[in-house]
Amino acid sequence: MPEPSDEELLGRIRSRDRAAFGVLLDRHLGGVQAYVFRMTDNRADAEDIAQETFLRVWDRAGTFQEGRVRVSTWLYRIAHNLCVDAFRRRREVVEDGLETLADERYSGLPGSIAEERRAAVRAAVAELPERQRAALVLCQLQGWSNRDAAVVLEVSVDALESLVARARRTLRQRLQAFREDAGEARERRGRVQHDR
Amino acid sequence: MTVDEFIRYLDVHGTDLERWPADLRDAARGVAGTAAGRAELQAARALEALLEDSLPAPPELGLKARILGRLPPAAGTVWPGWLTPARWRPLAATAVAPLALGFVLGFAWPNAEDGVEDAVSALAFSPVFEEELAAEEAAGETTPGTLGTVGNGKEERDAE
Repeated sequence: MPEPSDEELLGRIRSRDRAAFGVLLDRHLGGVQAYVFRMTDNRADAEDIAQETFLRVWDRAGTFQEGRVRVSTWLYRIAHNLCVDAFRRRREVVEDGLETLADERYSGLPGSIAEERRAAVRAAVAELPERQRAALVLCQLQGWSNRDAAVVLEVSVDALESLVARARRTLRQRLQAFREDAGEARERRGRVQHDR
Repeated sequence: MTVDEFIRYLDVHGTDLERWPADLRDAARGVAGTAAGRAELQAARALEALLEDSLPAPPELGLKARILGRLPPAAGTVWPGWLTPARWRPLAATAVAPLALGFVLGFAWPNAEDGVEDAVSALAFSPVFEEELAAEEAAGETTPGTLGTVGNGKEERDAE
């Protein structure tokens, strides 16, 4: 028996079918949570936003307009908009002086070189403008096509490609030193695997 | 395609040349085969490796159960889900069915004690019994108007 499509599942969710909702969760929760985590760089925020994303799917399944976008695209658009809301709230808190911009995640005790490198990469990604970050995460880390990512972010494909290219150029400049280390490490891993 | 164009396309489409638009792939493979193109491709792959290593997907620890637990109760559900887990429902139905059946039958069938009371009432107010009672009163054997006479009279009839 073929697996039901996302659209079929959403049709059943409209009729308050919890089993169908469970299947949709199995299919997309990991990806949505990863996307949100990579956008916010905060596990608690990622869980809250991923949870809220799916609760909205349950509540608003009836508003989904079949044929206009895919269910997965709609899901990620909800998640993305919730991320943007979270960033806006965070900015308001910072502007109110209740929180400093310096993030404790990047100011802890120095760890291994690998940990420092990861922290630097995450900081560089976090400093990208939101839409560049979203475009990069979707296309680079989540494996979405430029066309689908453009639908999620509600921009044209040209605009999406411009966002991704600018994000990559910025990171390339900021992470020059680390990039060379990582390239060498990858080559070493490749040689070890080849020798085996 | 020049090396500079190759670099621009790498920024747009990433290092997996198979995911590039079909009309660019052959030219891209040609540039990637040159020393300069190969160096750019390796540099771009190093950046991708850094990103993938630094931003891993988090484990999904019990989030699904939490989301399902936040759903509103299904229509017609009185008890919360934890009180009536699905695996207990057949057992509960089996236990409740005989109770419900007994309740229905109890109302539908006449009560045995009601039958006895009906028989006693019929006997107490039957014309035959009243005639016997009048005869006993006339003979001065009983006191009229006491409840005890009903019981006593019956016992006396039984004794006879």
